[in-house]
Amino acid sequence: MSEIRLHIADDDLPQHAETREARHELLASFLAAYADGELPPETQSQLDSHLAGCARCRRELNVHRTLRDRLEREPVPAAIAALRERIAIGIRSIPAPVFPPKETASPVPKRTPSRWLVAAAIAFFVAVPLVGSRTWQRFHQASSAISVAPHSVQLFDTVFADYRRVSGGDLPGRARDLAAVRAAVPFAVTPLSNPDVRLIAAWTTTLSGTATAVLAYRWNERVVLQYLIPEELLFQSSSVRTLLTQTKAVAAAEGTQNLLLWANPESGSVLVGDVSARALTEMHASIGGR
Amino acid sequence: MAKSRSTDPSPAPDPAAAAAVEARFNALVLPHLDRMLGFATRRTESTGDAEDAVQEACIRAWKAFADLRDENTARAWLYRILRSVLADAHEKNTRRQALVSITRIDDAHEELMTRDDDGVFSDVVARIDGEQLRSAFALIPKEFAVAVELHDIDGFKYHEVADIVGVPLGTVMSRISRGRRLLAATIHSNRKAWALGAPPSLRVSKGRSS
Repeated sequence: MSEIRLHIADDDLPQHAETREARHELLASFLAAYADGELPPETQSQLDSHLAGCARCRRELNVHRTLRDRLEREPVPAAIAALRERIAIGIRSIPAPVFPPKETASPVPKRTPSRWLVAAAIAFFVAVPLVGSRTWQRFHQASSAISVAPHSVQLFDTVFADYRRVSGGDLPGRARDLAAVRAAVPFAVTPLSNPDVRLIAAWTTTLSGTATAVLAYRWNERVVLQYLIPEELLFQSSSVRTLLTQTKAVAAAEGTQNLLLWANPESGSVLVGDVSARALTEMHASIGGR
Repeated sequence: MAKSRSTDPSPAPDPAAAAAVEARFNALVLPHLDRMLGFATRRTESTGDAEDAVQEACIRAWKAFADLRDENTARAWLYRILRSVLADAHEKNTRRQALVSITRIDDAHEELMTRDDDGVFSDVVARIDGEQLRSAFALIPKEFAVAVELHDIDGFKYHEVADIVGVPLGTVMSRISRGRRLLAATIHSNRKAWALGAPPSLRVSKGRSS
């Protein structure tokens, strides 16, 4: 698990210059949210510690606060009476909307409190061991996927292990290798189509003795891998077969890493990354939940 | 063939019920008109265009009022509609100033961060006026400007900004962080042109420019 923990704050780890710089950059990216009180307490405390020893971050925090305080004071123009009158006339010229009868059971899901959403967004690179915590449970409640323990499905263990192996070094392929990857597997390899997601690498690997295509995407400055596995491997596990009859997607977590599995027409997809379960669900939803 | 009541698309209006709906709508919408106008003003060429956008947003909101499921989210819902109106009618026609190269802004940010004098930037920001702020916002990419404005000027929380803009929360965090950096660097690099003060040595030698 050292590959993961190098990305997070852990004072027990050797603090190489590159690691310290990476940690500094990550924490610096939270300074705006820190200034705005939008971070969960654990992360807020981490920033407190970092700020005590980092003059540059203190200066940048000061810039965030200075600007925000100035913008908060920006005067609000008053809507003149004539505009209000025009609006009143406008809506009176249109019949009042008809509200449907109220349903007995509220279909509106409760909004997840913002702090938990923020925690979900940053969970992967701050040293907050979330597994088992209430926060973690909230993520999974918010997700439409069924969450299972990673060790309950051998495929998940295998994917997590390969992901850790790959993410610990340089990515094994390049985006322009996609044609070769397509030629190497007996099913369609179609990269995720989303304007916020960019394919940066593609290669093949072997999972449980089966050829598998792997696509790496850059998404919100993070790298997420998609393992495209043949359907015989997807449906090999009785747990997976059962789960896929109940839900379109299955989620699992190991430490700060999350994965999301779903079935394609002739293969299976497993998205995995050091990102929150919610982020993966959003990524899956953004391509139509296919 | 007679229509059943349940499928009648235009039930007979009940004046009392309609008045109650209008009163509820007004109570939810009117308190936000000023801020909506401010948001629209920053994204249009003239006050008239901004007022038209706000009026159109209110009309669309009225037509869609039955779709508002949670009145606690009315303000974010209104901004979503307003952004849609602006995108349809105004933002495409608004002449944004040519964006400054991000690399140049990053260089300015680096210079700002490595200065020894923290007070200079505070001093500059204290002098900036609304028009200059608007110019600064126009020089940074729109998605960053919108996120910063919605949070810092209009007072939305991060999750509300995510809701309005339609992006994940992590993206909002990133856009606000990056947006403020870009804005700070833009202000810093234009401080002399906008007569916002400069380091003391420069102020003494050059004075205020007009």
